[in-house]
Amino acid sequence: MNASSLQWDLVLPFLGYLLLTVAVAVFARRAMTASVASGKSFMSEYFVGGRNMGAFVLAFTFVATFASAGTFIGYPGLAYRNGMTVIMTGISQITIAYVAFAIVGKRMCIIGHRTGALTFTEVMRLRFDHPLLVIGITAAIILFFGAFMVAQFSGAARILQSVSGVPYHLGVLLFGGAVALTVVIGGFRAVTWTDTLQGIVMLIGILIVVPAFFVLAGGPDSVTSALMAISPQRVFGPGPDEWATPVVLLSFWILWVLMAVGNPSLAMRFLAARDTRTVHRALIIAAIVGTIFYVPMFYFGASIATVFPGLPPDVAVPRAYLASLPGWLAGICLAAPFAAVMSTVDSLLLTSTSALVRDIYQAYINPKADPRHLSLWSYILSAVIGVAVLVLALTPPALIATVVIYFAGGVSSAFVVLILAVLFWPRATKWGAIASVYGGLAGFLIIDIYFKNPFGVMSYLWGLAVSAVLMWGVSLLTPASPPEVLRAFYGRTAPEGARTAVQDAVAEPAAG
Amino acid sequence: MPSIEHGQEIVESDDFQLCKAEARRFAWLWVIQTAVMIGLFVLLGYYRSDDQLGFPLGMPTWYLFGCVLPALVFLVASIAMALRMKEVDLS
Repeated sequence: MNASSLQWDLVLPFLGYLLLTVAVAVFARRAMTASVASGKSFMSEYFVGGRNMGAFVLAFTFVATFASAGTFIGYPGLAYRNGMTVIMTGISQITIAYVAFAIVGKRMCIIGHRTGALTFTEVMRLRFDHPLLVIGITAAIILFFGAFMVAQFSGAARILQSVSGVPYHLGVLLFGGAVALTVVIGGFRAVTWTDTLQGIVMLIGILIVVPAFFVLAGGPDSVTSALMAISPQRVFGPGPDEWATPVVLLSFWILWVLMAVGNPSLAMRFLAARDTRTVHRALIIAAIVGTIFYVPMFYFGASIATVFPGLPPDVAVPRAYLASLPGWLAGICLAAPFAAVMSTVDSLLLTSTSALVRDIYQAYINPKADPRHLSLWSYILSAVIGVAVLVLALTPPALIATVVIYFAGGVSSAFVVLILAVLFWPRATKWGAIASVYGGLAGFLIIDIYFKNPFGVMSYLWGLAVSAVLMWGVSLLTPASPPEVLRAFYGRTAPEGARTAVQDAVAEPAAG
Repeated sequence: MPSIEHGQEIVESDDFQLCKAEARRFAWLWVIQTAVMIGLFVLLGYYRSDDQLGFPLGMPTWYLFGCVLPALVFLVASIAMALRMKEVDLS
């Protein structure tokens, strides 16, 4: 690496931003240590931040976790290539806040407080209590989240290299190091606090760069005229090669919302909410922030083609940042897409760790593990997974790209029906849940590999239908869950013994 | 409200019923928003002939009236509904 080849006005703000992230994580670590010293459970502190998250942090950690490199670079890049019709498919993301908070969030918050569950998988374990289900969920989380994390690091490091000259491998090490450090030292509290910082950076980035770029491009009038001159298909549906038919629009609208409903790392956030009022207020904040993110972002992406035609789509957004703003300000604002990457990956990393420590190790391998033992395993596994992702990102295997392609459909097919059934359907049984998760995932993969979007409907919707039919049919054919479990999840205050039975299943040591 | 499932009866808690009702309302909001916005996209933004093109404020009609405006309207609606959500005592 030649130091003179680096764009220092971009590199320095980026490094400053990474340092700030780690500093926030250290601060969160101190808060966690103080809570544990005052007698609170390490596991509760590490995995749900003591279940004391306020509305502002909940809203921003939700938005920042959902917004990935795709939000800031990939999807605007698609708009750069296909024009404004991409807006019609992507704008549905403005609805995810109210759908996720109102349908999933409030119920998860209540269930978390009632049962003491600390992780997404634990909620499923307490409700259905079968190792086959827990192992299936954990395996899906590790596989899909792991591949997605590698892809996010890899993509971000390539973009960093293209705009600032930082070598790819160094970029991966910087991203991976900062994220792994954040999760290992500060757990959930550090993740949510840094997510909040990253969400604010994203918001500021958008509010600065979008108006600046439209000034550069000559305003909406010039942009629209230029896009029409390239091709009217860049402005009107169904777009180039008729890619955005109304059926495709609807499929995308459903896909995005299912991605929010069925994502375990998002669902886990609601377990940490202080109370239901927090969920309501966070809904409002997240809906406003989401609208500010998504309404201008894809229009911005489509507009870049009018000023800088012929770029690779993934480079279009960083190029627009550099052209619209002075170097140092571009450097600060460019932290926004990188913040999106880090806020998504740290959440996925923590979700993966929690599934292994809490739901595999503590639940099935060593139920009597003492708090010190569990805290050690939490640190070790966070570090191991973080380093493994980092190493894989240095030279991503071809298999990663294949798994990432199936990420959205796989997560939707495996988890959406399961989550909705846990939240709202007392008649769901463990066999229905097992059939739904395994069958939905298998159905999606088989349909996508061998039939690919039958009748013009995306494969994931077929996988989802398989998952729903199996949940419904198998549940009705098998015995209902024990009444004490049903009462704890859906019923009036249960008899003392019944509630204890559910909480015993958590089996967290008293001081743990 | 009793919920009888294969011989097992549980009495649904008030907060469970409340959450179901609120979830249903927001699900309907999503269905309406999806129908309205996709409908406006197709109505205003698909297969346009030259004499049907409109660019208020320099933007295509479908973007301004099918995307930006409904996004704001439904944002206000979702906030109004969120303000009416009821708290649950978790103590």
